[in-house]
Amino acid sequence: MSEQAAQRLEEELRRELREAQAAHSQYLSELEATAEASRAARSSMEEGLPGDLDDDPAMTVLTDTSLPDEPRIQVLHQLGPSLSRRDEFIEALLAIVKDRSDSPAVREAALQALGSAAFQVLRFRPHQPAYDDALHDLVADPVPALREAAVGILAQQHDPVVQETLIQGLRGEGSLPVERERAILLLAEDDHLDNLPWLRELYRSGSESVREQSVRFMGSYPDARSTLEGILRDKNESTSVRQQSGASLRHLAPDRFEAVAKEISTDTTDDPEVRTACLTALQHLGDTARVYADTEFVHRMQDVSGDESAPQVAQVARELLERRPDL
Amino acid sequence: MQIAMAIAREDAAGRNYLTWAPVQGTVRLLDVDAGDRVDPVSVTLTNDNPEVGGQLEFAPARDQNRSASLDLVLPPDGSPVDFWVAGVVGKPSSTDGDAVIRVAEAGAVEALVSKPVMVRIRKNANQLSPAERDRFTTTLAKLNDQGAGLFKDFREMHRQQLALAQAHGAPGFLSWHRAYLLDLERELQRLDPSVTLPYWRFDQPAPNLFTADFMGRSGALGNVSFSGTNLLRQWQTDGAAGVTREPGFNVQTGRANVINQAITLLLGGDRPNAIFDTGTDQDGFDEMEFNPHGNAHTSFTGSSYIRSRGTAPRDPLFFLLHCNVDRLWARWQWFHNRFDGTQPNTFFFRGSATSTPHTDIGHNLLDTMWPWNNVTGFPRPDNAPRTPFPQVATATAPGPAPTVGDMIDYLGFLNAQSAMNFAYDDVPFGVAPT
Repeated sequence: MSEQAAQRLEEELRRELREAQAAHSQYLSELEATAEASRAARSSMEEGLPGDLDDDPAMTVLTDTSLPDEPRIQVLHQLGPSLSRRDEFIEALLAIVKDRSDSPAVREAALQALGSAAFQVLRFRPHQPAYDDALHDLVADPVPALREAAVGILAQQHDPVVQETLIQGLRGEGSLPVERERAILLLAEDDHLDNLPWLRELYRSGSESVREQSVRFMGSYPDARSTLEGILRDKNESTSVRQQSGASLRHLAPDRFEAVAKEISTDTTDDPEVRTACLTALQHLGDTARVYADTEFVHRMQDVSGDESAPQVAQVARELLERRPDL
Repeated sequence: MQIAMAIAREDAAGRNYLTWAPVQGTVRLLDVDAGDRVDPVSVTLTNDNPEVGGQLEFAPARDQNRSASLDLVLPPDGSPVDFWVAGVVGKPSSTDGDAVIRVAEAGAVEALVSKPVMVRIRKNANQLSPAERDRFTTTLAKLNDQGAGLFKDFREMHRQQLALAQAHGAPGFLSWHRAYLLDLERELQRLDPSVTLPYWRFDQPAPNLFTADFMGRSGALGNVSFSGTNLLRQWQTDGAAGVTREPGFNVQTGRANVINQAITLLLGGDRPNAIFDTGTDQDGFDEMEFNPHGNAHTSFTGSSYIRSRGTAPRDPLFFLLHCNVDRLWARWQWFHNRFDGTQPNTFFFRGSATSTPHTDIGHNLLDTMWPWNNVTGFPRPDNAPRTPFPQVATATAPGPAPTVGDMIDYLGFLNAQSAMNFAYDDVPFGVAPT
C-alpha cells in the first residue's frame, strides 16, 4: 500500500541523489583543474581577477574568455543556483553579455541566466537598470540570436525605444533588428499601436503559421471584424487559420460569432475541425442559455449528432445536447 | 440492517475529495430504535473494486498504519465508530467517484452501504488520460472566458513590480506561489470538482503536453495552435487572443534547460556552491528560484509570454510550470522532513517584517500574504484583486488571510487542521522512510 510505495519512491530518489552527487563531485574536481590552469595562464599574462573572486573556481572559469565555450557554460548550468545570490556573479553576466568580442554561445547562455535571475524581483532590483541597458545595447548587436532575444523581451514589455526602432524599420526609415514578419508580430503585442495595416499585410503574404498569428492579433482591432468573419467563412483557408479567426471574431463580436458559428456547425459540407471548434465554443463560453433557447439550432444539432460521416462533430453535438439545461 | 457512513469534509453536494492525507470517517448502526439489538455488529471496510479506479486504505486512528481493509465493531446503540481513510499512493482516481468505500458485514458478500469518493491528486501532465486533459483545458478556458472571466485576477496578481515583489526574490517565493496555485485550483474546482492542476516535469521530455489537444503546438514565430475541441483556442489575456510561445528546446525529445530533480532536491546550505549540504535552512533550497524555476521560464525564446516575469501568466503553461516548482518543494519537504516552520532548517526568517532578523514584508514566516490579506498601499500594491483566500468545505486550511508559514504543512502532517486538500502523485503523506 502507501507505505510500500513511499519506500519505493524513497529508494528511487536516494539512488538519483547518489548519482547526482557523484557526478557533481566529479564536475567540481574538473572545474578546479580548469580554474587552476586558467589562473596560471592569467598570472603569466599578469591578468588577475578582482578581490576574492581570485579563489573562486566558478568565477575564474566563467570569466576566462580564452577558455572554450563548454566549461564556461557549464558553470552557469551547474552552479547557477548558488552563484545567483552574489552581486559579482550578476555583474560578470552583464559584462559577458555586453562584450561583443566574447563568444556568442557564452553570451547567449549569460543572457538566459540574467533572464532567470530577473525573475527574483527583490534580489535583482539593484541590477535592473544595468540589465535594461544591456538589453537596449543588444538591439544593435551583430549576433542575430542576441538581437532577437533582446528585441523580443523589450517588445513584450512595450518598450517605447524598441517599438520606435521596429516602426522605423518597417517604414524603411531605419534597419530592422529582426526579420520583417517578426517585427510586425512584436509590435502587435501592443494593441495601443496602429498595427492593423501591417497585420493585413502579413495575412496577405505569410505562411499558414504567420497568417494564424496575423488573424490572432487582428482580434484586438474592431475594424478587423468583417475581415475575420470573411476568413472564418472562407472554405479555401486552412483549418487552423479559420479556427483562430473564429476565436478572434468571438472576442470582437460575440453575437456575430454565434450566428456564423451556428451556420458553419450545421453545414455538413464544411471542414469537420472548424465545425467542431465552433460547437465547442458555443457549448462552453458566453451566453449558453441563449444557444439552447434557439430551438431550431438545437433541432439541427440532433441531426448533426447522428451524422456519423463526421464523427467528431457528432460527438461534440451529443455533448452539447447532453448539457441542455432542461434535461 | 442499516448502517450510515460519513466522511469529514464533504462538499455541499455530499461528495468527498481525498488525497494521501488521512481524513476521519464514522460508521454507525441506524436501525436501533426498536431497542432489540443487544450484540455489536462486525463490519469490514474495503475498496469496492480493488482492480479499478482510485484506491483507498483505512486505519482505526490517524497515526496508525493503514491497510486495504479495516474491521470495525459497531455498538448496538448506534454510537458512531471512527475510522481514517486516505488514498493509496500510486493509485489515484481518474474520474470523480471512481474510488468506492464498501462496508459489509464480516464475511458477507452484500454491501451494507457504499460511498463513492475521488482520490483527487495533482498528476504529471505528460501522463494524463485524454479525459483528464480535456477536463483541465476546458475548465481553465472557462475560467478565462475569453479574457472576461475570473482568470484576469490571477493575471493581475503577477504583473506589476510591487505585486511581483510580494512573490519573488525572497524566501516567501515558494509559499506565495503555493497559495496562488491553490487559489486558482479551487476556482477551477468550483467549475468542475474533478479537476486538479497538472504539473510539467520540465526536467524530462513531455511530448504529450506540447500538443494541439493540450498546451498547444508551437509553430513559426511564436504561433501556438490548438485543436478544434481544445477550448484553450479561445484563450485571451490583456485584450489579446492566444499565446506567444517559442520553445528553445525540442518539445518531442528534449527538456527545458534546467538542473534535474535530484540536483534540485539537494539544494540547501548557506555556503557558495554548497549545493550538496542537504539543507541547513530553507534559504538554501529556495536557490531553486533561479534554476530550475527561472531557467524553465527562460528555456523559451523570442517574445514568449512565459519568458518574462510580467507576462508569464498569460501563457497557461505557466501554471503547470509552477505546479512542478511546488511539487519539487513538496518532495524536498518529504525527503528532508521540512514541515515545521518554526525550525530554522525549514524556514529561516521565522518572525514578521518587524522582527529581528527579518526580510522583506510578505516573506517572513508570520507575514500575511498579499493580495489575500487585503492590505494595500506601499510596500504592498495599490489593490488586492483576490481577497479573502477561498474557503472550501473539503479543507480547513489555509484561512482567509494566509501567512507565509501557513502554507508549509500542506498535507496536515504535523497538524490535521493544516491540510489543504491537495497532493502530488509522487509525494506521499508523512516523511520519507530512512
